[in-house]
Amino acid sequence: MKRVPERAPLLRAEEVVKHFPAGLGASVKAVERVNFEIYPGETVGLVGESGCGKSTLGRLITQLLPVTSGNIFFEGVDLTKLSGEKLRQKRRELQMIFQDPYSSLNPRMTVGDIIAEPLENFGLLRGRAKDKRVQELLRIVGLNPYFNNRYPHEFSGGQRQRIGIARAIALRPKLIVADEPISALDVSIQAQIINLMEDLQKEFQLTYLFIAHDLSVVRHISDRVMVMYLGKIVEVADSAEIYRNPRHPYTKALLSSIPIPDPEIQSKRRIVHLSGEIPSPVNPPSGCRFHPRCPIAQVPTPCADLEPPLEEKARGHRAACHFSEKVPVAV
Amino acid sequence: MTAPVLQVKDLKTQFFTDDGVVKAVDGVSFDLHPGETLGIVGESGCGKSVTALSILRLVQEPGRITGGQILFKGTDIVTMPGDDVRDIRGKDIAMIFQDPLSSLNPVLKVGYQIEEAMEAHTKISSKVALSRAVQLLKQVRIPAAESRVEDYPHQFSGGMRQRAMIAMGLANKPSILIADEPTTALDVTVQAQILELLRDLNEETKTAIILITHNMGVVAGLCKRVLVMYAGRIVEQGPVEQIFKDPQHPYTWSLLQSIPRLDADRKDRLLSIEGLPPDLIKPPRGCRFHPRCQFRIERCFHDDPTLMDVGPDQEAACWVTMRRALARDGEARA
Repeated sequence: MKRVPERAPLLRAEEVVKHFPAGLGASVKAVERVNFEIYPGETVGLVGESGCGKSTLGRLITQLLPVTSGNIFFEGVDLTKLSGEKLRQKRRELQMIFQDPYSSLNPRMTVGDIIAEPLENFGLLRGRAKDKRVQELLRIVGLNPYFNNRYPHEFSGGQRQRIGIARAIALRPKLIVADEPISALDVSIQAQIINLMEDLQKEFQLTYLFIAHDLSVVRHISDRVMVMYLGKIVEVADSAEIYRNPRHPYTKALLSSIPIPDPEIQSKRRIVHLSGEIPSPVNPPSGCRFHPRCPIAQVPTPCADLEPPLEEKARGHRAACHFSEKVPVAV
Repeated sequence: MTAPVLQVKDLKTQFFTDDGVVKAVDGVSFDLHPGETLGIVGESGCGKSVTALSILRLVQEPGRITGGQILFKGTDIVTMPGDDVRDIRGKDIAMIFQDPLSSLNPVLKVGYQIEEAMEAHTKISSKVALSRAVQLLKQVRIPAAESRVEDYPHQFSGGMRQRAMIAMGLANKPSILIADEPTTALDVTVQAQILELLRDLNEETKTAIILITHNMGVVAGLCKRVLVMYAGRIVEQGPVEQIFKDPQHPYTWSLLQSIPRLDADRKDRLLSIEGLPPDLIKPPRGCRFHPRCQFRIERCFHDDPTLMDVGPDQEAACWVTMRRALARDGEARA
């Protein structure tokens, strides 16, 4: 276990809210009063289905999007209060890896220039020293250092993702937000990138927020897992614990839906059916946002009129459910 | 055993590009029996989708079927006149695709599109067609089918659109339904429901299903038999239980070892298959997997293996096979 709870968190999100205007005075409530911490050296997985707000949350943390309200403390400094040069300097320590290695690299720049750009932005290295550092970075991510004069289109998807990783670690950041870094890659390449990210974490003491929809990958790479549904974090726990003992019915449903590559086990599993569709984040349901689809909800009271707080159900295990003790045990 | 409904024999499909001839499917043979569920797995570019498109003669220029036979109930689709293929398409063999939104016409009602699929092959009154469309939507578990039949595709969610596509595919009671990555664009909870639906429909209607996917977990949940493809070839095939429990081709074995499993405790490291799939204009000599294979022997560099019996009803194209490779490794360690 890497986490030492007594240590100060590297990042702390407090009551973070993000609304996007949706016309006619309405708004999309993408992230709604979210609180969590990330500790130095750990990997936190953030999972949920499309539209749950996980990518928005990732962009709020790296300040690529401004929050509507709330605070994000990075090493004690509130990023939401920073702007201009001060924010720019802080960003050196917060980098991002994107899902699509095709659209996140400028096709007109050489790979060397792409990786050198952050170094230049901060005026860190020049000339030969810069070139040497770029080649070193290429080697670190498992690419030929002499490929620095090539263009992104000359590389495969997996290799491009390595380039994106080299760019992200160029400034020796403390926290990397990886938004679905492997979901655009082929199966045999995914393991290469996961292994690389794990090696780099050990080598450079990195902290990761790993955003993904695939719970099996998240379970493998993460120390802790946060589950999001419709803009809220509904459950947080150690990754083995959340799998063994989910305390939120949505987590349970997600887990039961993930196919296990073993026909004998798979034929015995029962999926938890969720009725209906994910409601609109413009008008989220009252009370618990999951109640219209929840197999164990009691309506109207309390589930439809009282929002369950994200509270500690066991040591280090928080869930936002009125009936978390009724969630059936795992798969 | 009943006669196969589909027999693919030494199928070769090639793309004639400016850079050279891409041998996308290079000698693929398999049988599909009535009511069977067959999975074809592999990574992008392995030829799994081109195999499916070839079965319906839907390969686009500059691609062409250059050899082999596709026998549907004994008649060769490859040499059949275009009109006859059109009769089979959507009637005897239906296909659904990854992205249901781009497969549906946005300006026509869902019900109308299902009726169209029926009217293309049989003369029926519009009243009968409508009631049959409602019945099909019910069969794919779309609630309030009577009113939903009047909806446009944008009023359906992603999962419901794929259900509507499946309804359209089943409209003419085909003997084969080909599903090309039917759940890849969907969220996991929706994916699980669509797979369950396909499993139920296979039992109810006895329609044989060919499921094309890159996801081993999806195959494990739905299929009885599986073909593993690599670089235009079948490298291993057999019953699903057998292949997952005792894979004999190093590629199959490595793929299964490289995916993190939800039910496994955190391992230190995933097995990773180094390198990239080969260029199919100039595939490697010998076994096509040898440049990436950690168990290769000298023979693999120059001698191209064909499918050989390796277990009960199981075949693999490998000179080494995992049984021998693992025994060898065990000896080396001892």
